[in-house]
Amino acid sequence: MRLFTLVILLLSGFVPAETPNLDNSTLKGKPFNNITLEASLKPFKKNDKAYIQQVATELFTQWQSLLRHTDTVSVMLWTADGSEILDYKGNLNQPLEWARYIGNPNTEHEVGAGPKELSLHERAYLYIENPPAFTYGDLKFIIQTLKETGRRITGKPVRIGATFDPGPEFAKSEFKYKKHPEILGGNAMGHKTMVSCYSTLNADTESYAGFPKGIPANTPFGTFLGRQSQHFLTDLGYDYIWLSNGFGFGVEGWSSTGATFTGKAFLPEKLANTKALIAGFWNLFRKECPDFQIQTRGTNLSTGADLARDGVDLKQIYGGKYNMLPPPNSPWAALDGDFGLEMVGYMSRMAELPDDRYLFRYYTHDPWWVNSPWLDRYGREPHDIYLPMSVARINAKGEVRLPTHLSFLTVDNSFGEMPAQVPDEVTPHILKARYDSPTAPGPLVWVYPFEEYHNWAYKQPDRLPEIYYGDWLIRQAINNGFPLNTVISTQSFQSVISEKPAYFNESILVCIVPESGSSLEKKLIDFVQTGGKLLVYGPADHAGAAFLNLLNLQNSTAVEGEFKVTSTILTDHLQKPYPDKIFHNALFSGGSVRSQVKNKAEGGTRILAKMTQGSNERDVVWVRQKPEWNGGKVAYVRGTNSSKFTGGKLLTPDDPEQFFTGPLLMRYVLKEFGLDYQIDKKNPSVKNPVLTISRNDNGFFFSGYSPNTTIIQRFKLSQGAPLLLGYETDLANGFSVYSMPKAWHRESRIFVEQADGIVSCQEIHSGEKGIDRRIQVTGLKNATVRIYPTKT
Amino acid sequence: VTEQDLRVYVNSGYPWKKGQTAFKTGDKKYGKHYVVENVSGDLVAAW
Repeated sequence: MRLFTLVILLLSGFVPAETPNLDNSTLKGKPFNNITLEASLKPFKKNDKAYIQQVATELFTQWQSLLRHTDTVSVMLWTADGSEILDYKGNLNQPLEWARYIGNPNTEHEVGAGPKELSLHERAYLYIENPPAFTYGDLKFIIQTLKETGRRITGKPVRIGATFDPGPEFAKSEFKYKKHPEILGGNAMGHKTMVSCYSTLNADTESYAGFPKGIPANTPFGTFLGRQSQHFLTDLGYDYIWLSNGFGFGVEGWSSTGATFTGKAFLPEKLANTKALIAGFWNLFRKECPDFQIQTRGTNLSTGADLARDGVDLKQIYGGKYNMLPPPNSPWAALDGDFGLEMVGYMSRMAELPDDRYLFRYYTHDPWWVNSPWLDRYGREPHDIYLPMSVARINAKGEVRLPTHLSFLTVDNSFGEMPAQVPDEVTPHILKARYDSPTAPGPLVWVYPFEEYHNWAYKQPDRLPEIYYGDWLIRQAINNGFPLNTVISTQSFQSVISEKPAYFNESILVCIVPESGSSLEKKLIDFVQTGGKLLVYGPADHAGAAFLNLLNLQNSTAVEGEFKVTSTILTDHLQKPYPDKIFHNALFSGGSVRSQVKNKAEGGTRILAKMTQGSNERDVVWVRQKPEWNGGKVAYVRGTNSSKFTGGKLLTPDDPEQFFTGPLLMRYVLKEFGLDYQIDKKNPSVKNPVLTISRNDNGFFFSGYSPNTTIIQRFKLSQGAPLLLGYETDLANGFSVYSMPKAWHRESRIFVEQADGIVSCQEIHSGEKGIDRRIQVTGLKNATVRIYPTKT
Repeated sequence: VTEQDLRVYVNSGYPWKKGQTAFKTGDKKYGKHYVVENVSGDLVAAW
């Protein structure tokens, strides 16, 4: 009878949901809560039910090996630009304007028209000849088909997300650009092209699903979008909504300026009102659409920078109980190579969270702008997988928390194709990075001032430049090889260090100058004085006496502008040396330079870098240690940002041939803590590599991105030169020396103390019962070898 | 992996019957690790 039933089921095309996933024990790595396949409607090239089912089948099938590693699967639909929500009238027979274009369809040029030389940002084409027409009812069928097909293929629950984008991309929008231009406030894609989340609508007599008698004058956009979303999501069978491109987080999602920073001055008087306006959007939206989860893209920047420049109060948004998933890493590093900014944004947003959930997002295809980053921006190199996936978030219990959600933007390209090559090539790297994910803090731990920044912004508005600057400095440091990939908030740090005093024994804490008299100040001082390693960055203008004493620092008169920089820790090897001039712009460096060592005669303090302007000399890097600190050590880096606003989206770094890059000193001072990472390159213009070092199961995992592969990288830690598994190195002065490819990710469990010689480190087969791993090192000469086996 | 689970060989090879060498626990300030000093030639760590 059972066999008969099974035959009938199979003949009918039904496969029991549990079948594909019977043996999860074969899977390695921590599973995700959710993996999202983002997609446009372009793959549905025919409005035909059987065709739609075939497309859905292919979509899930080509990602299936990865989808085994998740509890839930989602498909997030880039149907149009979000105007399908605004326009919805509650009628499933309503025609659907959908994203069937490549390029910008909201320009003065008709789709497919205009001179050939117009760029895609100036015009749009249809993505295929005669794309299908869809109604809202057809969209509902696609959603239902994706749910049923996904469930059948993966055996997992499938959720479908809608998207709302504030800008002119993706689809034509009569609503944004003709009916209601009064809602436009942001300028990311031209003057007043982006919907402001805190705009209000003019009166509109047209009927909408949530406003059948029209829109009353002065209706807040949050109210309108919330009520329309509630109808749209419910009627079409969606499970959540995604707010795209910074929407809900101020009005300038892509810019280094915003509502509270003009590029020339901060506007603290606007901060409180801006916070209220943004909070108003979230509250109004939630009043109308109370239950659907909100997922978010956030901005291209970071917590501190967004707060200071555009009044984005992440603490308020996170604390609003909005049932929201926080913004992930920005995809923009794929476009501009600014992985430092991506990492800073990612880490600063996860220092605190609404709950334990957060998202890592990876840019495989772009369904609008004729690019497929995996293929033609990353060049099929996985650096933007291994770098962000080496990040460890430490929570208040001292637990490493990995991203619970993974998302692919997108699984289809601009022509509606879904080349299986991409999931086939990307999936192994995603899984390998997940296998090697951090299980402990890395060598550097960013103690992120999430709480402090949000307090200072309102209570000490003169500190907005400092809030703005801190993240930019770290961005520049990471872009110059500062291996920072662990984050904990200042609040969580205080809990962890109280409960687990030895937790950071193998790490160097990286933190700003704490508030005078604060509990953080006391914890940091105690940390150093009981053997901890602490790197302090940024101005000390508001430091308390105790911390000034710890640093042996005094604030002198303020100086800014061009300086001569001298340092004893310039460790990189350049054929043409770095310039000895540096420009300290107070507006972009948290104020002027005031720092000096107070007691220069004290033996425990060593000055490592100075900046001189005429008769003014400022100490900008030093270390201090005392015998009674049990090995504890503190370093101070004043930190010149070496970048400024020049009118572009992001701050522009100073010309490295003309001015010394201040954030380099963050990496150089690590030598004082036993982490010596040096670069050989031809001249200052050659971009420095990005490096992360993470810890997994007692091993060290080095991941890197080499913008310029002519560079040579040298490594030496306190325990010796790390040997990268699978490689050879010609040791030089005790350093392991490697020329690395564009993207790389290597395990290291062997360190050697040996001056020179070619040494190889290879995995070899077990060949013996009871042995799981065997690592061979050859070429040793009177070496001291340190071995870090797995803990399990 | 405990000290009992780790085997270190110097200048040895399959079937790993010779060359096993002593090691000591490393300074804990560098984390959990084991140290072998004054090694020349090849070293194999297995666990």
